[in-house]
Amino acid sequence: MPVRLAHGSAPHVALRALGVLVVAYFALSPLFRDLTPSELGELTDIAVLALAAVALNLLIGFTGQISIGHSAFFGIGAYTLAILVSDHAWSPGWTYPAAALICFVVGVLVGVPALRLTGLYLALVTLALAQIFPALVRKFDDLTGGSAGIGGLSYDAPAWTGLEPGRRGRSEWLYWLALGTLGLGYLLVRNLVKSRVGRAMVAVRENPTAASVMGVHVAAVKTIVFGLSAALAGIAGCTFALRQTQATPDNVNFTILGSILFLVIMVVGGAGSLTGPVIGAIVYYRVDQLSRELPDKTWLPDPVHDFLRGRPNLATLVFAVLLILLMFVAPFGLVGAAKRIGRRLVVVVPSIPTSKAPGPEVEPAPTPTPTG
Amino acid sequence: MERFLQYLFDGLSQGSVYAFLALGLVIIYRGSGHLNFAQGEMAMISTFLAWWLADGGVGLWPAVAISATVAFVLAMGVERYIIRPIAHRSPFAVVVAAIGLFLGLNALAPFIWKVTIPEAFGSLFPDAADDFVRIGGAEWRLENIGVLAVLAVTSFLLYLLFQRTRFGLAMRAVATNRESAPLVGIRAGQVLAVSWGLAAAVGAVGGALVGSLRGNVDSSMMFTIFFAATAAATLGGYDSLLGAVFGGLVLGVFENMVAGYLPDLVGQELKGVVSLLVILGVLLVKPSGLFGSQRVERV
Repeated sequence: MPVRLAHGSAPHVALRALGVLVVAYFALSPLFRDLTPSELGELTDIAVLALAAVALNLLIGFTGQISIGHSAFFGIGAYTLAILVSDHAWSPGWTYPAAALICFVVGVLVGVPALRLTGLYLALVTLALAQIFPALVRKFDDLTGGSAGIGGLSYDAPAWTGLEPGRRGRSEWLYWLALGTLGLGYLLVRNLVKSRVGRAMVAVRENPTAASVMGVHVAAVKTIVFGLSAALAGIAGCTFALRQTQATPDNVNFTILGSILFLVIMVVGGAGSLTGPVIGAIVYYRVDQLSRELPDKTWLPDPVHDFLRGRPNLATLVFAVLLILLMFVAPFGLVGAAKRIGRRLVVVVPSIPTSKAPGPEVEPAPTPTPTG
Repeated sequence: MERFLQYLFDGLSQGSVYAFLALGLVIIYRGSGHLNFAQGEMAMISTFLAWWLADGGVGLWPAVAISATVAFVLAMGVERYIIRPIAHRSPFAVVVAAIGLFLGLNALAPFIWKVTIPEAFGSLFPDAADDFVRIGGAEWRLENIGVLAVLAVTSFLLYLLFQRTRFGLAMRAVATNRESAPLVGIRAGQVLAVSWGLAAAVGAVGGALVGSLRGNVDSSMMFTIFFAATAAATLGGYDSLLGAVFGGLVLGVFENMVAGYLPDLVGQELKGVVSLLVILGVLLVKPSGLFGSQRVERV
């Protein structure tokens, strides 16, 4: 029998506060732990991947529109920053809204033909987008620097932050930037999903015809969500360009493999869950890192060593297998699986209102709701 | 005229390659309505297998035959044990599983053979500098003719299979009505597994042709070709085998002409844009494609 907690009761609040504390400890650790610039860089990478996956989740997880083209939006964001900073001497901070706006417009433009296309065909169009983005970058080389790309991107911490100048301060500032944009993106998606619009999105995902009958403007929901999702991916791309200090068309995250990477992170973490993409990004990044370091670990027996040497892409294989396995055992990813297990231990029930409201007496339904 | 013919000949062999992958896509789509995102990577890993066998002393043609057979068997297993069990859940689950296959196969080739740079792949046809036929001043290389010939033979064999055998009849029945086919004693599951096998085998031949034309194999060799093949299948109609062949050839020629006649605007780099425009144009004007059957949905 699971423990039943009333929503808003002391143990429930304590549980939630514990969750927030754990997240805050890791997210805010640069404040009280002495992290090296490379450790800060890792955290930045995780936050960038998480934001890209959050963007994709808004589109796929909540609205049910498949995109294999988010690497293009990611790349457009990165290139917007690179071009504005290097050719027009913008401060990197101001390029973020510009990149978000450009990606939003491109996203809406892609979303418009998507109105007539369902599932499979939408996937094809977005696949095409991912495929031609690097080609376009190479072609218009007077704007984008062609195959060589645009280098020398950096963002010094503004004076008001009080961060020390130099590499350390830059890494820390970049982390706060990545964390801040991830936080904003998360809040945007959360508030959207928990609002009227969010219910419209889920209705469109489950059954567009029924949603339309219920008065949902399916076309508007689809295109705007596509634009918002593209804008968030573009913002992630901005931070990515700063972290890489350059934007080149060969970067794997700007190719179709990037789109697939975002999809993997989203699905592994949990499609249609708010925290899923963030969890997915952490898991992906750490497992990938481990598999790269594995051939150098001394505690491994020699045959394993020899086998792994020259095979750096073990993590990709692991995630490919994991992706397929998840479709069998946990279609809603790690967060979905955790929720299912958690429900056996703790169930949160709506609390009974104490004040007498006017109107007929209604027993609160005792149906258990999933824990958050 | 000479220039036109040259673009035509080059386009036809490129288009044949698209047609091979498009055939695979269509064979799977007809039966189950799934788009196999891993089609290109299945072809890529089969080509690596052929390369490895040929490297080990097996002749190139036998190596291709073996790799196509292995691909056939493995793809049947993929359908039976990966796709079919999750197919009833949601279309999204199948898309994700296919993308998992894409990712896994893409990583598997470098993992198994420890290759990081493109490896040399022999030519299936005579490919010396003077191996060409001169027609109207343009050079039609024997290897390009060979690729087209292999496509013609494959298409003919598929035609015989689908139109002249009992099993082909069963495949057509499943394509027409997945629910009713089992009622007349057709083992729909078996048909779907064989569809995947066939698609993989056709893809393996296509991959070997790509390797032969390029002269090397590489784990990213199929990205652009797979993408063009989806455009070709869209153009031909996703449930028409004839459409796949026609769409592939037309796209290959069209793309080559556009790139050739507009070298500054399009050129080799932006060939992919042609495919994108073809996909968008077809989907917006006639979503069922040139040869596809119109489907009416009941809500």
